[in-house]
Amino acid sequence: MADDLLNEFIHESREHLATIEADLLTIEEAGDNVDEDLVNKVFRAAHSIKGGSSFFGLAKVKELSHKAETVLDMLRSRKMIANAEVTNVLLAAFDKLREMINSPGESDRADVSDLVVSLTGLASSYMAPEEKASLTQSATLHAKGVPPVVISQVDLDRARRSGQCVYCVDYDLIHDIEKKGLNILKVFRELGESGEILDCFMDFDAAGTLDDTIGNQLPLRLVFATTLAPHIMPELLSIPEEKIKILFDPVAQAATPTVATAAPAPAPVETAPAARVLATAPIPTPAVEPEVPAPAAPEPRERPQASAGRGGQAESATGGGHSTADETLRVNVGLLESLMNLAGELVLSRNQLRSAIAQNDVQALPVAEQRLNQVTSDLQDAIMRTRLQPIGNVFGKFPRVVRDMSNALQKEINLDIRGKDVALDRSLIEGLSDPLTHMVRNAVDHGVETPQERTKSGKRSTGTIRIEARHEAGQVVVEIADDGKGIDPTRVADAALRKGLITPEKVRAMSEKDKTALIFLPGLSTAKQVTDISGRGVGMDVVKSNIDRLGGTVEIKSEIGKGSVFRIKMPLTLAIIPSLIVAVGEDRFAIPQVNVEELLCLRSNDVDKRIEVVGEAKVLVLRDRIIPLVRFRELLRLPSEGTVGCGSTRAGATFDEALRIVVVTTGSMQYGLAVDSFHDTEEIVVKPLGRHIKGLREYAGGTILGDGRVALILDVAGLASKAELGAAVEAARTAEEEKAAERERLEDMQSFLLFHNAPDEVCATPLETVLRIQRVTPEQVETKANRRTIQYRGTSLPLVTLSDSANVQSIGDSRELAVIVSSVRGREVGLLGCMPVDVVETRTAIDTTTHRQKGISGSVILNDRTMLIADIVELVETAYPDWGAPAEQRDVRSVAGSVTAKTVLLAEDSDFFRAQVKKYLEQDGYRVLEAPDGEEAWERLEDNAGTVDAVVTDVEMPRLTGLGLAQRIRGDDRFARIPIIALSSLAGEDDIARGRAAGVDDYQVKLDRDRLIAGLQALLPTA
Amino acid sequence: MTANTIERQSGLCRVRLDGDLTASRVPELQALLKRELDQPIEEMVVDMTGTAMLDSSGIGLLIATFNSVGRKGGRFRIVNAAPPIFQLLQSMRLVNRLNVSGTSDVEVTHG
Repeated sequence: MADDLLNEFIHESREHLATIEADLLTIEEAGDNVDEDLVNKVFRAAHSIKGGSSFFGLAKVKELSHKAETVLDMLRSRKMIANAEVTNVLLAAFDKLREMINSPGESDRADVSDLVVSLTGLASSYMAPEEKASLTQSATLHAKGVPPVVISQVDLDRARRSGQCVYCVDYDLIHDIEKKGLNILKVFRELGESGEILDCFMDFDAAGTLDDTIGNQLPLRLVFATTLAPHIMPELLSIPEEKIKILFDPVAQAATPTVATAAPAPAPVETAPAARVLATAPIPTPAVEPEVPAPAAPEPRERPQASAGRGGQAESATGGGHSTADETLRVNVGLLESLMNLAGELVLSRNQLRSAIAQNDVQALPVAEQRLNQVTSDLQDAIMRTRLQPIGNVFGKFPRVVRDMSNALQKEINLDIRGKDVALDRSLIEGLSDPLTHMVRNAVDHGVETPQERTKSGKRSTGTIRIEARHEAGQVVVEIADDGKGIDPTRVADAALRKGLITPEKVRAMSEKDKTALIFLPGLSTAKQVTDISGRGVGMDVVKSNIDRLGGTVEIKSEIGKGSVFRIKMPLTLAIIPSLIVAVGEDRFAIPQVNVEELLCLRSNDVDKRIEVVGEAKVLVLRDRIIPLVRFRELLRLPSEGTVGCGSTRAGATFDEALRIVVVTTGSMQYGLAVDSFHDTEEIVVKPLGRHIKGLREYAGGTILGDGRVALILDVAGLASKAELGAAVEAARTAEEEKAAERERLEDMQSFLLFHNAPDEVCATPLETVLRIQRVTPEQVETKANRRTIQYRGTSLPLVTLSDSANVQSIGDSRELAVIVSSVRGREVGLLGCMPVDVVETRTAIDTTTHRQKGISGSVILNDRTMLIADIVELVETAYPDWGAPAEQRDVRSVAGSVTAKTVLLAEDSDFFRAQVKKYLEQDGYRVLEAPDGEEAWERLEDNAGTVDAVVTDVEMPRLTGLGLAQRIRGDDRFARIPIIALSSLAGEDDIARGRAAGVDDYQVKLDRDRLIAGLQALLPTA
Repeated sequence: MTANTIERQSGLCRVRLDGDLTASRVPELQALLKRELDQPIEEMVVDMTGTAMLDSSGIGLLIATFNSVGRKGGRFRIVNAAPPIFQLLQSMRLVNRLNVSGTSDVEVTHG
């Protein structure tokens, strides 16, 4: 048993290592343009190797892979960019690993110290990215069985950009062209039409001289770039497959071992000093290279639909064989006999059909067809069964994993395995092995608590992990459950926030389930210590991507303190799936049955009731819930047909004009897909998509329907993401709306400082005018010539009181006085009042008329009391009329005044503020035009075109906001150059940026008079 | 049988093919060219005016001639290749190696 496991580990590690070299070189080449998926892939490979080696006690392997993993993590988090030095070290490390894996018994004697030092050095120095190696002119390509091929870098780049493959073709002009009666001119012309000949090497020596017989052989080697797929090439060229090698394939990352270097640094074949080596190899096609290991390892470029689409490829990939052991299959003899019988039945049915057709026997046809149908299904079923393996094969290694890990962590765990006989297609079993292992390890490491923790929380000291497989509704369900401490959604969300993987707005809008699901993000690990066992948060994203690729889904159900259940659902087979066929326009599409929840047919009069618009999205009301609605036609950008659907109010709508909706589920979310019509349910054969549309997320593959037409198979999850239906989008929108509401709220808020005048008279003054407050005693107040002052920091601070100017009570005999200090006309002045003071925020309207008098600008009702609002500026004017404006200002203004006073357009919806600001402006010699909202401000601007010198505007106003007004002004040639000052209660960076973007010159917080005046002066050139 | 024209000016030899260069003609042309190489050769020019068809054997002949001329220390050129033939030779990356041009150049002169 132990040997089996070890062999399996070696085998898997070899597969991982097989692709690493190519990947590292690709990563290096990308330089700053980090391909995160690829780096993740290499990282996960190193992680897997590290995990297994630790398990088997391969200390040196573990050490080296751990160090490599550290460096890769830094690449992944962009602390480091992969330059030549980094790549060289990594390549060397992985070469060494390969060596050690190949002879594990001696690996502990291997000397890895140099590499460890290098890797450590890299990691600890956080190397700054060096400059990319200067662009080379040529690239060297490798393929098995041919010497290295050099082509120009420009050509290679072009091929990659166009998604072309580069092939190396061994031709013989005589044998392959002349002897076949082909015209060489035509052959090369056709080649030119289907791709580009990048290079051609004719072997002059083989042609001989005039002394030899001419026309025996003329070998040449062609380097050809084309979008055509490998399996088409032999036909195109009319030569056998063996003569065609793939040098470069931009689509598949299924790179397999290369002929290239065993040496750590890429050995340049060319003399060009910086030639880069791109290692690729032939794609395993059924007839070619059967001994090349095909990857079961993660392929990050391929999307979930590739699993279904790989139905055909999966066959060859696994049929291609991993090692000699996997080239064969054990099949139950009884099953083979069934197959034989069915084959016989098939022949009989065929004969029946043929005879019916030949004799034009209309009665016999349906019978024959039925029989043929039945036999075909049975045959398909039986063949599928030959590929089934019991999942127990994978479960088999878990007892040991759990036992060893629980010993290491000193936990007591009981493992309960059920459903070992549940059978799955081979390729699925292989694909599940890694994810399940990760999940079991996580359950032991993070799930189940130590015995002490458990008894403390009242649980039994022995934890249980249950691994169960069962069939359910046409799928296989595998569950890994533990009765441990569960997953804390808040901790997961916090970790994600801390690592910058998600924004706070999104988190606010997420449900507990969503937060728990964040565990699948790469780069996340909630383990407090990055333990060696479960490492750097790599486990769950490996799991999810593997399972997605197999066409399955994974869900988490967890309760803090009780435990967690991970549920994986897998399709039974990849190759043939029952699907619903739908049509949009002339095209047919197949939706896998497993994704279809229900079908709806809405008549036009129902449509208004059932379809609503939320934000910008249409949603469908489905009984007790609301789900997003996607119109497939719109998504495909087809012209819409007539007025069917939303908003149609035609009376007497017929059945045909109903809106047809398929409610689909991706496992974690549902949505409605509106199509033109429904067709049958069919069992379709999944064909992989052509390489050029493979990247489209919305399609999982293609199929040929009974009538010979092609239908694309929808990937409902991919479609959802294309239509941007993610819950996150919804959440974002809600969050946006909330935010907007918040801003509005803040905008209307006004802060006041409350103080006492007479003991029972509370007054207010706008908080923004207050510089500071000082508590004083009556003794400190000095009165000279009817003017009051106090001493402050060696100077006299002039004081005013409300009673000096306004018709209010005097302060009285209060012992505790407060001096509220403001700045007026550049000088500090104190408003004398009594303690206590308080600060309040209110949105209540300010009454600017009832109590208006000199020194009082208005009143506001707070807590059922009327409070007078002190106007410090008026108070100062009354008490110190000779202050006026500073000398320079006065002179300038009098000069300007003799010409024309400048005109300011003031837009402000609050009467109170508008009155205040107007007063300030007029006091400073400006002529003021006022408007209560943006629209009216615009009208006044137009009415007074040519006379308005500046605009001072509030931001939040009805009808037209200040920013809207600014944009309009900037957009109109007549007014574009008028300076604009915006006043707002909000002055965060976002707000200021928005203001500037709208064209505002100066963005100020309400209400700083001096700053406003200064701002205007700065923007308006003085005579 | 189409006649081939051969001009010779001591070490410079110009062969005008006057017809297609295909498998059927190869033996005869081979013999002819071989004979020319019995004499010392500085430069051989193959003039493909009037050649509309070129097949694999024909290409083989051209290369073999190039090899033989090279062995004798001479230079080899092809001139007046018709556009389709020139394009073919270009695709095959033979234009530089066999020194092919689509037009005739200056009269063979003896330096």
